Amino acid sequence: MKSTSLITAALLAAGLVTSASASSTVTVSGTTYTEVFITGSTAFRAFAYEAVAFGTVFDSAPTVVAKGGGAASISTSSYVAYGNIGGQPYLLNFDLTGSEAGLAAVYNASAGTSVAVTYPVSGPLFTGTATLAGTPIPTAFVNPTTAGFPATVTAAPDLAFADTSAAVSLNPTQNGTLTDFGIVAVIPFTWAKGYNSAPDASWTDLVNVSIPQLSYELTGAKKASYFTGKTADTDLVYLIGRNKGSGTRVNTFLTLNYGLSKSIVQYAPANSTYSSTVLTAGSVAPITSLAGLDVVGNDGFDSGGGVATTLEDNITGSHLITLGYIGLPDFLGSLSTGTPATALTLDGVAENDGNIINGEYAFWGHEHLYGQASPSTAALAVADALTGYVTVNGGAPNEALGSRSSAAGALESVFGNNASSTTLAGGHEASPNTQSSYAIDPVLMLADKPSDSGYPSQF
Amino acid sequence: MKTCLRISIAVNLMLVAGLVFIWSTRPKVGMPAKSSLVVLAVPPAQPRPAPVGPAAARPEPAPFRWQQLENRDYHIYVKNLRGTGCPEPSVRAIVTADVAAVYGQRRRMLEEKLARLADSSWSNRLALAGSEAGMRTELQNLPAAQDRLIADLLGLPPAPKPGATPPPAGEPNPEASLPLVFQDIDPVKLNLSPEDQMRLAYLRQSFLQEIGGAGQDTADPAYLARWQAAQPKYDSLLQGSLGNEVYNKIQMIEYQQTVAEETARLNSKN
Repeated sequence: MKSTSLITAALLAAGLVTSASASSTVTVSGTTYTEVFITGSTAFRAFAYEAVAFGTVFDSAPTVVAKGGGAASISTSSYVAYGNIGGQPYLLNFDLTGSEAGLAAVYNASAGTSVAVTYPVSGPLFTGTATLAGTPIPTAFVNPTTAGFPATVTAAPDLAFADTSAAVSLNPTQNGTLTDFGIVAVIPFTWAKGYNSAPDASWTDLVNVSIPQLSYELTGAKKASYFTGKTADTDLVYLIGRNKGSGTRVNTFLTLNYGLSKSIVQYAPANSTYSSTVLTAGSVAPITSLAGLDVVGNDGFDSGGGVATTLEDNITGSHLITLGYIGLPDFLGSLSTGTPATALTLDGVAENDGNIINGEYAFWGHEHLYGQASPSTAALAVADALTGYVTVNGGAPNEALGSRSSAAGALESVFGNNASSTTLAGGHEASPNTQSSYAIDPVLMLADKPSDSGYPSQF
Repeated sequence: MKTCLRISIAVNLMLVAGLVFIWSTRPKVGMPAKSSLVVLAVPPAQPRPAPVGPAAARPEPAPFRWQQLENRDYHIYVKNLRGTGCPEPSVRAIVTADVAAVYGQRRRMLEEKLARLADSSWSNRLALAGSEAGMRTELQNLPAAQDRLIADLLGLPPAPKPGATPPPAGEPNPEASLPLVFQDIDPVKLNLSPEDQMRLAYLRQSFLQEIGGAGQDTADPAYLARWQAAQPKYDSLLQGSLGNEVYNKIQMIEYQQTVAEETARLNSKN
């Protein structure tokens, strides 16, 4: 039996780590569980799920149920997992809404405030003030007290996964006060162009984008010739991307050194709608002309799924190209559809595990786990089970990659357990230079960036 | 002594020139706050004058007196200079020239002593070998000490002494330089949004936290190690947070200031 909770309690008593005392409980099928709410990055959801469902977080395999009562999977964002941790009953309740939204919500919970992240939107689809989904706190945690889990609850989260450190988040002053449980993974992203069933020359020639070119693309659509160097490539290239709650977006800006507060010009299919001020993708449908796109300005999709759906829209005959930045779970998911997006190389380098590990490919971020400024004993126990923060690292967050990395816990063990998986191997596979994982084992890295920003170089 | 007199006259002439400049460029209504470094060093001495309408009668300024600025404590003198609205580049130029003059004197004294020692007998040199080595070390360390004093007087965090710890084999021992986040940045000139300014303030505060706060022992090798680890990280964070355009402008400001300070130092030696 694991002794995580006992060790955590001992370290708390010794004053090596600090904790607030408040934890909530919930009774499911006659058993009372200590409940820990987890939110944050959607790009990292696959590994979080693997660690919880199959890793060493729980003493034995937990019961895992998705919102609505169905089976959860690596692509599920709202689910519960319950069982024993260190001999004590725990229920982990997930509602993953994005890195920035997650940090904002944990800060609100930590500071006892209730501030939603809002921003102005002006475009043909919506004009007004948008509220970032998941703020001030997530609203779609699973309600485990109702049989079949059909209902959801709003709750103040204890923990959040973020694709960057708090230093480059929407509000570093606030989020810098949170407890950093350290780097748990390297999270990759890719640039991809939309599906085209009968490609023209512009689409065919567009195989690579460079960092300087992309910085300019963020300010508005550019001709394909700008990227390809061929004057005959006159199709316009339109940017499809995420809203301000997205860690993918923050990493995009950081990789391009664009400036985190600057606005960009993005587009969405005309069949998109705003649902409670959140840009929501419509069904996959052909885009036959420029009228098939609408400008959404500085706004974007709340999830990578919206970007993937748009890139699956067939643009044949439209004389435009959709270009998106996207996390690997959504991009690889698109590949299994009948209308897949196509990855582009960045500065001539393809996205794959090997190129990231070696420092050749620059579009990736440091995945962190954050908690409230004074996490509850329960939150600390769960964070420790996920990262080894207390029992392995003595209350010091892992801030390094490669041989200096102290990444541990269930999340670290997930990488080594999935060497045969095509998406969860994290660099442990036989041929990393031909495979793309959802995230990379931080211990395997041979390179790092000087901070959340900058270009990687080998140690 | 003639040299000292000349230096003294030169420094005083510079101070007078600075004061004339201050007088002619007193804070104007609506003038943006110039240096956010003041936040890290000393709080503004006086609140800015309240805006007045164009038709409002402007009272005649009280006649300027030296006593308004002079103070036995040079830190307070610098604070007073800033309090009068003296532009930050002028404050830097005045401080740099003053410190360079003092260290110039010390350098010349050491050089003269070493020269006399070199001309003395071998027995005398052997007897004073320890003293000679000490003087040579001090001479070698003068530029760094001068930089630290300038940084201290300007309210910048003190850079640790370069070379305080031997570098690992095969690795260079880069000098400790001031992170770009501490450059004198005019948010209006650089068109920084309120969010950018918040990020800048956060990075400055966060850097200080990471190196262990102000008031560190600059000879502490651990302090040097913390500084050297944090400095490139915060330059990179600044570039990522504010973007290439702003970052390049800040680098240009740093270059211009370095040139201005070096020029002032060279002028004070001549």
